[in-house]
Amino acid sequence: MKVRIIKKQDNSISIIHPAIKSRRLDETEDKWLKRVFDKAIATQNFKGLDYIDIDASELPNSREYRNAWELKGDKISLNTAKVEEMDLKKSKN
Amino acid sequence: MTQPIAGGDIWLVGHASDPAQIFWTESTKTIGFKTYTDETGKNFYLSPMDSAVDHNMYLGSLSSCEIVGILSETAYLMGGEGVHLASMWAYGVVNDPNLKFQLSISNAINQIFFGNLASNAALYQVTSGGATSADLGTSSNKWKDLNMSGDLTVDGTVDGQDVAQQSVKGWISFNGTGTISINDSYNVTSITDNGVGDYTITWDTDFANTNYAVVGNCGHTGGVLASLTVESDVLAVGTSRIHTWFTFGNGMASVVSANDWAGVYVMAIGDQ
Repeated sequence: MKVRIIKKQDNSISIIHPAIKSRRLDETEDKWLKRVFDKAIATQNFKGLDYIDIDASELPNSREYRNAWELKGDKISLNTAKVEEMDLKKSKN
Repeated sequence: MTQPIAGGDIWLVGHASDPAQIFWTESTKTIGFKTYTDETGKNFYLSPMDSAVDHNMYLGSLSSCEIVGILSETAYLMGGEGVHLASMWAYGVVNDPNLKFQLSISNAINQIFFGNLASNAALYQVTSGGATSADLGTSSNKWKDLNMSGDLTVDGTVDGQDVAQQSVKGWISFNGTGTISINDSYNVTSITDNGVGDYTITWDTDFANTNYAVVGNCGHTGGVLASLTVESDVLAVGTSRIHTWFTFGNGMASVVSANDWAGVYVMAIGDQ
């Protein structure tokens, strides 16, 4: 299943996961994904932002540092400063 | 005009601009119908004379057709390939509760009407390939089987319930941990993962306004408190942004933080 990764202005990312049940009987997969991604972009102020489409299996398995995910090229990488900040916060709790 | 007939199955073929014509095929059964047209010559009415036989109506191109009478066997009102009727009406009394009063249409038709079937009959069926509306009449009996491949629009109520107002218009069940996966959904095109416990649901069919209600909850394990909130200030006709939380500690010492949960459940009700 393809997902679309949106690179936001603060370098954080949003990931659009299509709902398979929304695919219509007469739609090809490409047409369905275009409709789904277009609507999400139009309704969530993602217009004009950079994005890439990848397979969901390429996403990191762990969401422990989800809020430190950033898009570097066509890969998701961790913002080390944010990771350190999150670890510090955890240790205080 | 009254015209008694004896024969087998009856075929009716006609055009809206012409009086209908009657044909019947050879059959071992005897069947009789009173038939007459109205003053316009465009509408055709049938009333079975012999209630002890099957009553099968094959309809050609008529502006409307109506079956009336006391039926003791399953009655069929059928429109086949090439049939385009503005309306089909069926009135009658079915004496045997095991019998069906069946309307079967395999082609486009604008309206289906079933009249007063105030008998003890229990089974009625409508099978339609393209009806745009169906009026189930004033029968005190319940419809047991309504099978339509097209849309069924209910303008009024069903058993006193305003179905359109009460129906859930969209819902989703998803796993927010690991790689997010949608278990099942209705009227949802996508879910956007904005971060830990931060998701936006995009509805397939938009709501008419932002007065719709969104509710949800999270499944959890162990003695922790999971909760879900809706970001009401960004609620839009096409999207709902939600947040899921984890609370630990007690009273003033409790701490709330965003959290991903394995079970997140959201539904929305409102005008569309």
